[in-house]
Amino acid sequence: MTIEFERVTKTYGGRRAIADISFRVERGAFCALVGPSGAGKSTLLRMVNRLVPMSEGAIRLEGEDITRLEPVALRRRIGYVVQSIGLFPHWTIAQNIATVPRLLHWPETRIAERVRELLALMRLDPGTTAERYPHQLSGGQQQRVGVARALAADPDVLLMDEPFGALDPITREELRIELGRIHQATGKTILFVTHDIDSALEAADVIAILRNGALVQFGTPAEILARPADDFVRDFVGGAALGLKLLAQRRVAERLRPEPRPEGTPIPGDATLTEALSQMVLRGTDRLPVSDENGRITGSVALADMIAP
Amino acid sequence: MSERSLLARAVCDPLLWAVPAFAFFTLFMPALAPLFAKAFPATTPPVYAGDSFLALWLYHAALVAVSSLAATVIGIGGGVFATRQAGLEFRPAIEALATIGQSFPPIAVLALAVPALGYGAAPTFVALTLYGVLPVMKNTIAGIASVPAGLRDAGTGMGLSALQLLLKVELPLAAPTILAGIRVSVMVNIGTATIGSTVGAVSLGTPIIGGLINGKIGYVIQGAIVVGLFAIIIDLIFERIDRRLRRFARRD
Repeated sequence: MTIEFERVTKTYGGRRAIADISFRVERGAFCALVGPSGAGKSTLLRMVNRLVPMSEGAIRLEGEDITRLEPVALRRRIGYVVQSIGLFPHWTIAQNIATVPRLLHWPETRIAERVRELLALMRLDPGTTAERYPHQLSGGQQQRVGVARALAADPDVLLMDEPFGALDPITREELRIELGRIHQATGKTILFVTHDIDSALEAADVIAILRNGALVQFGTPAEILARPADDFVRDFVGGAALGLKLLAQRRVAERLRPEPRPEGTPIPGDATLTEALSQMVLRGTDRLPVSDENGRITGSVALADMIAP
Repeated sequence: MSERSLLARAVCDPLLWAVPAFAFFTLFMPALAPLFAKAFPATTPPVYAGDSFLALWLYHAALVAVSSLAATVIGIGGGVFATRQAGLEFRPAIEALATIGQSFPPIAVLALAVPALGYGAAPTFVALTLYGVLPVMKNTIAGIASVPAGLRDAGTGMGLSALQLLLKVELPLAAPTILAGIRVSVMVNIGTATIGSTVGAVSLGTPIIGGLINGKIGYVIQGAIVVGLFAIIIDLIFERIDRRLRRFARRD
């Protein structure tokens, strides 16, 4: 489902919390909303499922204006994951995951099947997890259930409001990778609020950078790194490390020369340029042999080519 | 779990002792006449001889049941209203009223009801209901208010309607707190219904008040034993319901 923001504005008592924001997220894209706290990321996200009413402008899902839809019905079509996780403590994991399917009156057999499917997708053991209560699970497991619950009725859009913000860094990274895998497998359109620009650069297809309620830049990670809109974006996305982050967005194969083919252990063509640079530093060389997926040498990559824009 | 610990638990269960004791005193109080005659030789007859204790208890229980039911319905209704969007502005007023009301002694509520309603069960019923509403309402508000905002946000965001959120999330999570309010309300009412006999309501207070007025301490003790055991049993039942409501939080 495409998500289109058109001149979206939100005023709270005369102050514009969201000012005139327009951008479009393509079907199946992973879009990160980033910015410092207070930038309006969550407010913008919560307008999509009408938890926050907008003052002006329009949001369209697959071309359909969301204000034309009944809010409760709209929300049942959109997956929603929040930082506080928000599992119902008096319901078992299976009951929690079944929330929206139950609201939609799915038959019980289909619900049970869907719950098993989602537990497996989130790498939770259905045998030991389904009948437990949320407080019996770790924070990471709880948020896996939170994601499973959001996916339960197979919505086309997933709204995630700093979903991994309250988890420890290792669990957060694990879940981020998991989410990438699920995004690949399901093709959902995801709107993901985070203040962590690095995870956005790594995971997102497109990034919307917000500041003081305004959209300062919208584009792919590579576009934003290569051409930051202003000094704020430049500092926000990388500051001094901007160049290295840009290298991390590019693959060795993009800078491959068929000749010459130097000796030594080759670097795979799908490695990032950061990895190539790292190898050059370690080996004290300015040129590395490059191999394809079969391990055959296909050419080389040179430092001079890597630093070209 | 071994059989022995099951047995031990059953023996230790106070309900197992309280219920037979209550049944014995309610049904067979006259059988204790020789005992009371020895303790209070001046009192004749030695055991209260008005309505039977079973009848007194039934009147008492009916008075408490009807007034507590009314109090619970009004209390939960008011508490839910005060936590809705439309009722939010009334919440401080309702809470203040509940606090002031509870600092009022029950006997005063009773005394105020008589001029309006005359003597008998009616003023007692009204006083018990009014007095019983307060703890239920206060706890309903507190219970619903204690539901984390994130839970409400997640529920609404997933597409629960306001009514579904109330019935499926807010009330179940507030249930132990609301139950504690009902428990206070019922316990106070069991006690206050006794005092209701001063304004002419028939209850287990009848032998107690009559005994106090006529200096027949035996009747006071007889009434007090039955009403005391009744209160203990009801309290134990509430404790059991409470444990059941919180069951989900106990597993680990």
